[in-house]
Amino acid sequence: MKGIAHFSMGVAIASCVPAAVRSALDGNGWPLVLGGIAGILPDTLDFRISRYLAAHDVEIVPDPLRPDASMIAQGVAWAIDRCAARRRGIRLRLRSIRMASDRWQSYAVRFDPAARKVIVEYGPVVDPGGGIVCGCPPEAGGLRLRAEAKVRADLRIEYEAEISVAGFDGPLLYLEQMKDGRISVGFLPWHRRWSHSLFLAASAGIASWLAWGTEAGVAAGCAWAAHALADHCGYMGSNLLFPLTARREEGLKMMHSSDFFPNLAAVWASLTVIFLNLGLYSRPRPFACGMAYWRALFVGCIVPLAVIRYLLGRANRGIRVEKSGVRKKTKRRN
Amino acid sequence: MIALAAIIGAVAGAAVGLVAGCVPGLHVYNVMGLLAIPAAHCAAADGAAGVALTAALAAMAASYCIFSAVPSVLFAAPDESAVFIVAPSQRGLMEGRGIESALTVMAGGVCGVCALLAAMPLAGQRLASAANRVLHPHFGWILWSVTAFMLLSEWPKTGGEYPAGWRRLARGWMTPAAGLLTFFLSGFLGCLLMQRPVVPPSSAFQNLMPALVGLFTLPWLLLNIACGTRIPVQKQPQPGEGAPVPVLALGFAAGFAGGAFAAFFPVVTGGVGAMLAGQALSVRDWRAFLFSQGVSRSVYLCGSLLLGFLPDYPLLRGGGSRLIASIRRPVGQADFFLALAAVAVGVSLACWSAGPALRAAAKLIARFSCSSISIVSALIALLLVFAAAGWRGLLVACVAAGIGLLPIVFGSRRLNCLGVILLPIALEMSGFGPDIARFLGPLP
Amino acid sequence: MSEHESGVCPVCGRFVGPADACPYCEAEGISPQPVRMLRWGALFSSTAGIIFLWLMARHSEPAMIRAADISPQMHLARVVMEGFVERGSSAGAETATDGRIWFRLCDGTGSIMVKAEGMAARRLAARYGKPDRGEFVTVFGTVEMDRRGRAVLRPAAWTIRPGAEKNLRKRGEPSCAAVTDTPQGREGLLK
Repeated sequence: MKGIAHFSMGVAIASCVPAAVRSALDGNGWPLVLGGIAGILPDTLDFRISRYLAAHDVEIVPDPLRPDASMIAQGVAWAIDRCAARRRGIRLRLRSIRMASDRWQSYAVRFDPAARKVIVEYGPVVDPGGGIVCGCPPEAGGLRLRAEAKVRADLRIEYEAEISVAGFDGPLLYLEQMKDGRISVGFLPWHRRWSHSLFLAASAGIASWLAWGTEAGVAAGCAWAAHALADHCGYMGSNLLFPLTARREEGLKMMHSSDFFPNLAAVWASLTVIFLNLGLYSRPRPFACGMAYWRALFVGCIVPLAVIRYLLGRANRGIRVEKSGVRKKTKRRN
Repeated sequence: MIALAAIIGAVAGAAVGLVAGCVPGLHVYNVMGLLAIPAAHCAAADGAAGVALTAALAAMAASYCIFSAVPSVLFAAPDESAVFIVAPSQRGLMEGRGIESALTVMAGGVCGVCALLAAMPLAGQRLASAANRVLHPHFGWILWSVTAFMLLSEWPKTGGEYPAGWRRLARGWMTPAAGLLTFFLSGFLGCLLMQRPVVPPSSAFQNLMPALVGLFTLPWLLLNIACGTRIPVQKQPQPGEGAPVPVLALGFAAGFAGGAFAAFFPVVTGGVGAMLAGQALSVRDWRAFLFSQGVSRSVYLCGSLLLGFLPDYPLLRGGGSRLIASIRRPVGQADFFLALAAVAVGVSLACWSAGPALRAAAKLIARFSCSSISIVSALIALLLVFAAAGWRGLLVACVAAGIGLLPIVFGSRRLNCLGVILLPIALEMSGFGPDIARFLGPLP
Repeated sequence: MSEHESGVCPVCGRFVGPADACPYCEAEGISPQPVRMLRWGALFSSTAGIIFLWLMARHSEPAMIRAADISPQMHLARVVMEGFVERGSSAGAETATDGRIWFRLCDGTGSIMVKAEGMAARRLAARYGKPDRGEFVTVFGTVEMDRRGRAVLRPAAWTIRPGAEKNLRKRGEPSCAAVTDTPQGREGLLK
């Protein structure tokens, strides 16, 4: 999920600790701030430290001036076959193609396990938000914008079959031979490998307890754990039991981290819970506790989110006209 | 008589706001302050004159928040050899779509004010008073939370060209480190200015003006002058070229939420609110982003001003409402609806004048080079600083310009410059004021 | 300014932005001279400038004002005020159990409420002591105007001179007990 969703969830969890709210009323709001910081820290550690220390064995650097999909496809296929031949993991980095300060030439790498091939296709030039700026570059000098390359080994997709490369540095893939001989294609191996573990959450909680007291410890530990568990609802999963386990476990695949509605719901629900908790533990209480709290949560959070979800669902339900002229309803991912 | 005074005041104020909005480096609070000081000493501030002045200040804020899009979009051209990230409005300018970008921001501003005018009478009083009762004791840590998120959410942008290792880590940390340096330097500057102001106490509201001009206005102008950027000819937008409504609706929602947050919470500005809401609502489309910026700015400026006019529970937020309260403290429904009407007049006049103003600005940048415009703009900004705070203010502005250049040339967020107000106020709210006073200098 | 296109490597023609070395052809020193000067200039002017401003601040004095000088435009003004902790039924330095310190400071031209709360109050009390009625106090702090237009002085430091006989009252000036509060802003639309 997005950083602001994790941060607000962390503060919301901290606000559920009565002592933390009372401490804030007495002038020390640090446990609540710590909840937010602990909520965002796992991703901060990964994207600011792990990412830069993650080495690669093979790097594919497309030329911005000469778009050549076959070079990329052959490079990826070579890395897969080399992994199979040497029976050792290979870290493959796909460099992004930067055209301007805020423009990237996108390309997609798709793995087809059934056909045992890698397909690379150049896409449009995009801006940092993923919006299309202009179309695909022209084919020139015999170079192609779409190419395929065969691989000899069987493939197993760990994350998603298609990886889009557009923005910043470009992703790191981890190619590893499994026990059954298939080559597993892992995405961003440095992400959520150790930072999103319950052990680290407990450590953060204990360290905070020792430094700042019980409410700070509970807030930090629970916020960190909530981040790990929330991310585990996605596709990439997390290594929740690090250091007992070394691999990321597949996620529950309930949502994608960049999906609009889950992030909106997390932020909205968190802000509502924070507001209600602050009101509940304030002296004097601005509203009665008990049923009023849950009623306020229902009216202020659940009902509006349900309405938004319904409206989004209707907007995403498109109609696709088949060649035969039969109109079928399809559901696009939100 | 009172009604006529209100109308005349609103029209005059809107005209002043229009001019102020088109001048780079001039903020509407500075102009309001220049009017508020003599009015406060003038006995004629009672009665019709006071009504006219109140309406003028409210309309001024409304028209300013629309027209300030003109210099911020059309006079801030990036040089890609110097900057890491180009803002969407700047990209539009360099592709000849500056007028479209400015119009998008202005349209967002108009929509934001219209929504505010509808929402304030219906729900403003109840929501604001309930929220303030619950949240008032918690402003301190909420401000720290916003600051912490701002600093922690900045992702590194560089280092990808090096092999993995400490060199890559150091290179990658260049942008976040520059962001942290910017925040703490600007925060330290803010603490210095609050402990030892550069203006006399009677002009305390102008104390931060030299720093804000230096941090946000001068850096881009200096970059334009140093790099000699050329702005291409700007095209007139054609009908049908606008963004689809669902895209703009998302931008509106993000802008309104961010602007409302900034209007309510002290110290938090429209830019911070827009950043938070934009992240929460995943605003990615560049047109939605520009639209949300316009909405956020107008809701923040006009919303914080209108909160001071709430009939039963006025909340003084932002410099505008305080300046108005220094002349005449609003009381009752009459003053509330006077403010609403004045804001509506300001926005109406802004809509009417937007087209000619944009065409004039496009002709200006076609006729004169970016460097020339930047030199003139920089001189105007420095003149205003000197008029407000003297040579000491100029010194502060120069130092602040150095700090404001850091995020641009090292690729970090310009929002980090808001440390100039976030850090000192957060420290003060948390009770560290006496410690800061001792640290910064011998006490009198 | 370099003659090459903005942000493009002059050797291989690929976009590199503000980087000083091209990641494609590994050419060094390719960023334009003004850009490099700007980066170093920004670093130097910001850090050296801040240090210089700090030294300037250490040798400057905040303005000393009197209660009669306070106006609504002085919101957040950092000032020095001195006077006696006023005698009176609602006056006197009181420390509530929830850590607040407040007293009314009278300087002969008017009076102002001095308030400190929470951690700031505890730090001030620990460092400077708590003023009592009749003591002469010099307060360094920030003037704040509340939403009712009343001025409050938030102290950052104070100096107490217990039992000082310094008399601010000049001939013809009212005593502290007779002076009303600091002037408030005008109210309302129709008044």
